[in-house]
Amino acid sequence: MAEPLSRRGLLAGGAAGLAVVGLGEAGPARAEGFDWKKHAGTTLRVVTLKFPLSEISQARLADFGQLTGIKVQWEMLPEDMWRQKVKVQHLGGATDLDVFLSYYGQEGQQFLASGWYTDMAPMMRDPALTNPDFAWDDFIPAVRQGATVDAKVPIIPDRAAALPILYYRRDLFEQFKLERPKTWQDVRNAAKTIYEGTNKQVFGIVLRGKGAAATSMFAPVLYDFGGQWIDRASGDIAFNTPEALAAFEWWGAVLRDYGPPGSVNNHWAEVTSIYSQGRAAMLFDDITFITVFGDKSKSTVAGKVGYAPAPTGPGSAAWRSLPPYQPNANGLAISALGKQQEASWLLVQYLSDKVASKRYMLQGGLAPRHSAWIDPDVIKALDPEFLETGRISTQINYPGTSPLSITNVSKARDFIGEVIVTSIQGGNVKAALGTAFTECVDLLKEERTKKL
Amino acid sequence: MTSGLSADSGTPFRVRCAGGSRHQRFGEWLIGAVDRNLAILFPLPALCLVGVLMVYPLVYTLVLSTRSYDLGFRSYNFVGLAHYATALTSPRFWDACVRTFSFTALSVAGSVVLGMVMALIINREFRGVRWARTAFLLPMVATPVATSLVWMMMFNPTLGVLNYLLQLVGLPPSVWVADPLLVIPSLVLVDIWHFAPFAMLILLAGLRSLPSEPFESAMMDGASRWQSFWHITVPLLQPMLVVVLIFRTIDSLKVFDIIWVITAGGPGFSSETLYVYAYHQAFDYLDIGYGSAVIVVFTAIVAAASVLWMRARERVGA
Repeated sequence: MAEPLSRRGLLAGGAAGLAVVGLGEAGPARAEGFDWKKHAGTTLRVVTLKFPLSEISQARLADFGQLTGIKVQWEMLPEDMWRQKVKVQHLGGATDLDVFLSYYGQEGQQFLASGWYTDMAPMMRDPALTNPDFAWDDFIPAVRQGATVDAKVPIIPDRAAALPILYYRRDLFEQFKLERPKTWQDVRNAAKTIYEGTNKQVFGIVLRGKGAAATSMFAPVLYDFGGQWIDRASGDIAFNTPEALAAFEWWGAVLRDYGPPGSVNNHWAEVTSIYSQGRAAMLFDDITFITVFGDKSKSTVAGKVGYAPAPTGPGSAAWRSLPPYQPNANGLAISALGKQQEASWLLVQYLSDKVASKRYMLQGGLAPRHSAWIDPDVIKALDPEFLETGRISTQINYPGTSPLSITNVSKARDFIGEVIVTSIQGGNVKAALGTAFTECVDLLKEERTKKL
Repeated sequence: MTSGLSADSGTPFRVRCAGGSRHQRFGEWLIGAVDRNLAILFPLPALCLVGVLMVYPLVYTLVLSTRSYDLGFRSYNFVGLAHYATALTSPRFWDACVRTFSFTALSVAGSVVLGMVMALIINREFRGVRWARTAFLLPMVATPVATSLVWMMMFNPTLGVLNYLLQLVGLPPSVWVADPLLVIPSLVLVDIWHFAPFAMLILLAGLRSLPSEPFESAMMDGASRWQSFWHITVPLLQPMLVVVLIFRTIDSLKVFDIIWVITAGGPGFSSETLYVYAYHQAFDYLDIGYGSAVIVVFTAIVAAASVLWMRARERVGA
């Protein structure tokens, strides 16, 4: 069972982290006695997503090259392309891809079944291969647990798994005398007030609506309304309930009534653009966008954004304290088809070290290591409301982007995404939900037959 | 070693080799074999290339389409024509077929008509005609993925420039590619913008090669410009038109990059053509067997369309 990340837990578990903080940024990677140069002259190829964490890593590649003598070819791609490229490369049996960013919750089961992940646990235990300052124990217990599958470690987490959060415009909430939303009903009320109060010049809320891409943000709402992807005991598909229908209808209605037009094509890039241009009062999305909104050169809402943990609904109490449903790690993985596993492991441990965690935290991400959370620089630099929101969000287990018993997550997300699109378009949500349910049931049945 | 070559330089090589050493006999046999099989040997390198690059992938795709090749489960069992049966009973497959054909029909018609208009404009001499030619050709030289990204931003209902322009002239804003009914016409618009210059180039070459006498006679007889165009230009351009139609049909059937970048087949599956559908199956869902079956069907459709146009070409004598 996952250990929740409480203040006490952070302090206790982060005792080792305190010592590390004192080492400064250059310290962890340059511990004496560890041979970083054993693969000098090697060239590694990495495919990753274009987002803030990758940019932090990219900025450190020159230092890594000096330390190890390893050259890194670093490809950062938009989300769809990154995901496709990693899959296509593996499908084609390419051996020139060494390291890639991977989201276990989305493609993990398939990648594991296909044998594309390298288990990093043995390398982590080998002192000849792992810098002692890497300190796997410094990772938050829930994060470590989320990254471990049958005692194997296919991914080194680069962030703490957390529920999406609600971004809200403090200035508009003050103007319209609104409280920070605590429930999904509060969210709808605030969206209505601001949209109508600004004469429809500011959208009340912006949410993802692009089919499959929206399911990851929609999942907490489904559970908060009392719905669920699967029956926990049997693993059977279970989202054809009135509660689930209410959740799908809520998502579509709030976007239709108070959201931007064309929401059905909005992925995270679109919703963050709309929000950072000051066109929307609220956004419920991943926690990693604090830097996007805080950058005055790109955002018109810098300094005006407030943060709130995921609002609650009638079903929240029943699921938010449950142990995790499955491993859920996002981070770098080493391709099992690559030929340079040891050199790749040097890169992965370097980019997952304490320096990376601290920098990520300072940029508004939720670091996977204790040491970053208790770092005085971090506490001083970050908005207390953001830190509190992050702390609460990491304590709640994410329910998964789609029914977790289904291996073909992409297919299941496409089916469910259709319901979200139908809801936003004002179509027959009940019929669409019935279709998606049948498709998922058939898919699960087919997969179970194949597994037998 | 004694060679017959020095004995009589006027004697033909084959005669000189006769009765010589084993190597000489082999040499003669080899030369004879080459002489007899020139018709096969000369195109052999090209045939090998075609075999490796086209025949092998096609045959391999055919084989895969009869297997339950699902990477999520590492299965590779023979399933016969089961994937084809699944496709033919899948509403999503048929919807994709309809979209593919409607996209192709609209795009081919649009790009040929616009290409013809552009060709007629720059076939005339006027001030700035060179600039006009360059401007018309620009979309064709741009990379489809890059231009599609630009179009995607232009289509954005909240931040895009197209709605701004619509509102400038007093028209209501549109959601463009977010509307399931507008998404295919919007994508067709991008495809036409991109490929109309190609049609223009070929038709312009045709216009330049037309004889002037029929037009002069028509003018003498008092034919209007439209009558000249419809009754003389179009019939004379028929061979060129058929060539354009062949290329544009094949291109439009195969279009992938524009759709993938702008909508990825969405909203929902509203712009999912056969190619995008096959890609989803093979590379998103990792169902390589079923994806291969869809590609085989798709290849058959493209081949059938090509054959039909080729026959039309023969009929007009292009």
